[in-house]
Amino acid sequence: MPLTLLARLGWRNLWRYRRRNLMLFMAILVAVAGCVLVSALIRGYQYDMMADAVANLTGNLKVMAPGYRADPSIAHGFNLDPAFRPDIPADELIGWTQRVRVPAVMLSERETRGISLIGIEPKDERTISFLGSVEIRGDGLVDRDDGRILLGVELARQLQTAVGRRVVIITQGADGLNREAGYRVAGLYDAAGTAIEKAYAFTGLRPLQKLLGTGAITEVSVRLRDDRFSVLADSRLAREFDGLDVLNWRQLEPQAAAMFELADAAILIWFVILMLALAFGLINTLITAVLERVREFGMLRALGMRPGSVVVQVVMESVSIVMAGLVGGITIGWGLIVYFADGIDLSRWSAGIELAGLRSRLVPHLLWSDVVAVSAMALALGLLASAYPAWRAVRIKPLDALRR
Amino acid sequence: MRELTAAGIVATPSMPLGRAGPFLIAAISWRNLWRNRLRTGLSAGGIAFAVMLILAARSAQVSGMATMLDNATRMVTGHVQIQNSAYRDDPALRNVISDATAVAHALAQVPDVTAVAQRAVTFALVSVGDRSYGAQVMGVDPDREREISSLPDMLIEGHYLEQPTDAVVGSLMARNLGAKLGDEVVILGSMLDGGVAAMSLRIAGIVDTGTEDLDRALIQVQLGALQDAFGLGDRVHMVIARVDDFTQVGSVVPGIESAMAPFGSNLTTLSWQRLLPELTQSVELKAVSSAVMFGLIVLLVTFSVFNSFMMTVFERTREFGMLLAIGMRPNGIIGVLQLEAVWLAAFGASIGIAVGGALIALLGHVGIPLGEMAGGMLRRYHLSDRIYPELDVGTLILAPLLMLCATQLAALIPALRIRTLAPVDALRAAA
Repeated sequence: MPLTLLARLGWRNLWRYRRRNLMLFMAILVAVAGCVLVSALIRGYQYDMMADAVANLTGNLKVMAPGYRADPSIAHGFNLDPAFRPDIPADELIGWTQRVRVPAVMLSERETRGISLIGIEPKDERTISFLGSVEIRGDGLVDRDDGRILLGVELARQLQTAVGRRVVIITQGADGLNREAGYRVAGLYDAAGTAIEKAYAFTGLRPLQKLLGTGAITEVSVRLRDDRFSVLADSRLAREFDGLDVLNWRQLEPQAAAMFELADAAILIWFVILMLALAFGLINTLITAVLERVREFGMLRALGMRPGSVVVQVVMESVSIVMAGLVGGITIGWGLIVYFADGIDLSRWSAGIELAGLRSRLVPHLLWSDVVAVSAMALALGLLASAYPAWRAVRIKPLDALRR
Repeated sequence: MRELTAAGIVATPSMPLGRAGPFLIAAISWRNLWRNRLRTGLSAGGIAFAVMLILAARSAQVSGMATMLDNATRMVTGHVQIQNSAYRDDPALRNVISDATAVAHALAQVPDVTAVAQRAVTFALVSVGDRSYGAQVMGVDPDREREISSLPDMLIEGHYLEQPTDAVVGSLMARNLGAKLGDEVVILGSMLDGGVAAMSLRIAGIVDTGTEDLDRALIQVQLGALQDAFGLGDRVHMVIARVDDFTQVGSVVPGIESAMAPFGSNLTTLSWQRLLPELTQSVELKAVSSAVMFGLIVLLVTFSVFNSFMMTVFERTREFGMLLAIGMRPNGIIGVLQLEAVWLAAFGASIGIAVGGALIALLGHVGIPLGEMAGGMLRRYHLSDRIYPELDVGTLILAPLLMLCATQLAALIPALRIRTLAPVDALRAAA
C-alpha cells in the first residue's frame, strides 16, 4: 500500500474525531510549551549565574600560584613578564588582566571591617569584570598608578565614610610585616548584591605593589567569549605558566558550578515529569481510537490491507498529532519567551534571589538543544504510546471484526 | 421492595429512575466507571501520578525547608532577637542594649521562650604573630550559648570557652592567620568611650560550621571578658531567644514585645523571618516555582480526564437517550456522570496517596542524598546533605481536593452536551 494513500487516510481520520484530537493536541501543546518556557527560564537563571560567577573577578580562567588558594597572601605571588600576552586567538578572548589581591583590615574614623584589597589595572578590569558594568559614584580609579581606593556602597555605609574621605588599610607586606597606609576614597561602586560590595575594595596595581614591597602579582584572570573555549585556553595557559595553577570558574566557584549542574538536572526532571503526565492521556486516547474502529480495521484487512500498513496507519495518526502539538507548543513557548524578553521581575524577593544567585530580572534563554530534546522525547512518547494500540489493531481478525 | 444488599443498594423496579435513591445512583456510577476498565485505569493512573508527585515533592520540599530553617536559626541567629533599634542598620559598638541582665531575665519569663542568651559583638583587628585580619568578635555566655546555638557542637579541635582567656575561631580564619590550638591571639579595637581596647587570649577551639562567612570572620570569647575589655559594663548588642516551635514564632512576638515595653522604646524585637529575610524569601520563591509546576501537571491530567469523559459521553449517547426516554431528567444523568468523576478522582487520589505516602515513608527512613557536588552549596545554605521528608498534611488534603475540582470540571463540560440531547435522535445514534 503506498505511503501517500496511508498518509491521506491518516489525515482524514484525524479530522473524523476532531474534538478528541483537538483536546489531545491541546494537551501536547501545553506540555511542550511548558517544557520550552520552563527550560528557557532555568537556562536563563543558569547562564546569568555563570556570567555573574565569571564576572565576579573570577573570569573563565585564572592563573595563581599553587599555595595562594590555601593562604591568600602576597607571599604566594608570582612575577609576570611585562610583555606577557595570553596566547589565545582574539576572536575567543574578551580580555585579560593581572591583579594583586590580599586580605586587609580597613578602618574608618568609626568602624573596622575585614576586606579583600585588590590592586587592578582599571582599563583591563573594566573589560572583563563587573566593574565595567556597575554604576560608580565619584571618579572611580583612573589608571594603574591611581593611589586612591574604590569601595562598595554597602561597605562605605557600614564604615560611615564617603567619596573624598580617608580610610586606613592594614595588610601584610611581602616580608611578612604589617603595612599601614591611608587612602582617599575615589569612588563607590553599586554592585547587584551587598555581598560583593562588602568584600572588595580596589586600588591601583602599582601603589599596592609598592605598599607591599613587591613587583609580584597574585593572579591573572582571563575572560573568554564562550566558556567552551576554556579547555583549549586552559592548556595554552598551563604551557605559558609552568609551575602555576590554571583554574577554571567551576573550580574557583564550586558552589556556582554545583548550582549550574543542578539546573541541568532540574530541566531533565521537568521534561520527564511533564511527558509522563502527558502519557496517560495520550495512551488513553490512542487506545480508544483503535478500539472504536475495530470494524473499520477489520474491513480494511478484509479488503487486503496488510498488518504492516495497519501499524503504519495507527503510528502515523499518533505521530502526526504529536508533531502538530510540538509545532504549536514550540511556537507558543517561543512566543511566551519573546513576551518575557525583558525578564520577569523578581525584585520583591530581592534578598532571596541574592542567596539563590538570581538576578532581579529573570530573562528566559532558549537553547535549541532543549527544544530538540523536548521534541525527541515527545516523539518517542508518541511512538511508545501507539505501540499497544497498534498491536491491538494488528490482532484484529477480519472475520470476527466484521461480524460485530 | 427487594432486599437491602450489603452495599446498601435499594433497588425497586417500581421506583422511577428520576427519583432513584442516592445509594443506587452511587452504585450505578461506580459500576459505570468500570465498564471501560482500561480507560478508567489510565485516567485514574494520571490522577494518581499527579497526586503522588505533588504530595511527595511538596512533602520533601516542606521538610527540606523546615530542616534548613531549623539548622539556620540554630547556628547563630536564634528564633527571636532583642536589639537596639539602630543596630540592624548600623551594627556599631555604641548601639547597645543597656540593663542586659534585666532584659534577658524578663525575656526568659515570657511563655514559650525555652532559652535565652546574651551576646556582645564588635568588629576588631585580630592578630596571631605578625598576621592580622579583621574579624567579628562575639562575646557569649558559654552555658547559655549551648542551649541556643549549634556552634559549640561544631568544634573540630580543642574545647569550647571555659576560661576568660579562651577564644574559639573559625577554621578559615585559623588557616588565614596561620594559627593553631594554644596560640596567642590579640584583639585590638576601640572601646565604647573611644579608647583602645585590647585583649590577649589563647585559641582554645576551632569551629568548622561549613558556612564560609562564619568560618572566615568569626571569633568567640567569653561575654564578661569582652564587656570588660571594650568598656561595655552590663551592655550587650543582642539578647537571643529560642521558642517552642519556630514556625509559630509570630504568636510569641507580641508577648515578648509587651515584656520588653518597660525597657524603653529603643529596643526592637526581630523574629527569624526578619533576621534571615533571604531564607524566608527563598522559601516563597520555591513555593511559587513549584506552584507553576504543579499547575502544569494538574492541567495535563485534566485534559486527559476531559478527553476520557468526552469519549464516554459520545459512546453512551444511546444509553442516555434511553434514560431520557424513560423519564430521567438531563440533570440526573449529568449528576451520575459527575458522580463517576468523583469516584474516579477518589480512586485515583487514593492510589496516589498510597504510593506517595509509601514513597515518603521510605525516603523518610533512608533520607534523600543530595549529592557530592551539591554538598558545599547546601552547607552554605545551612542544609544537611540529606533530607528526611515527612508527610505534609496540608498537601495531603490539598492535592486530592485540587484533582477532585479539576476532574469535576473536566467531566462537566462534556456532560453538558446531554442537555441538548433529543431522546429520539440519541436512540438512533450509532452504538
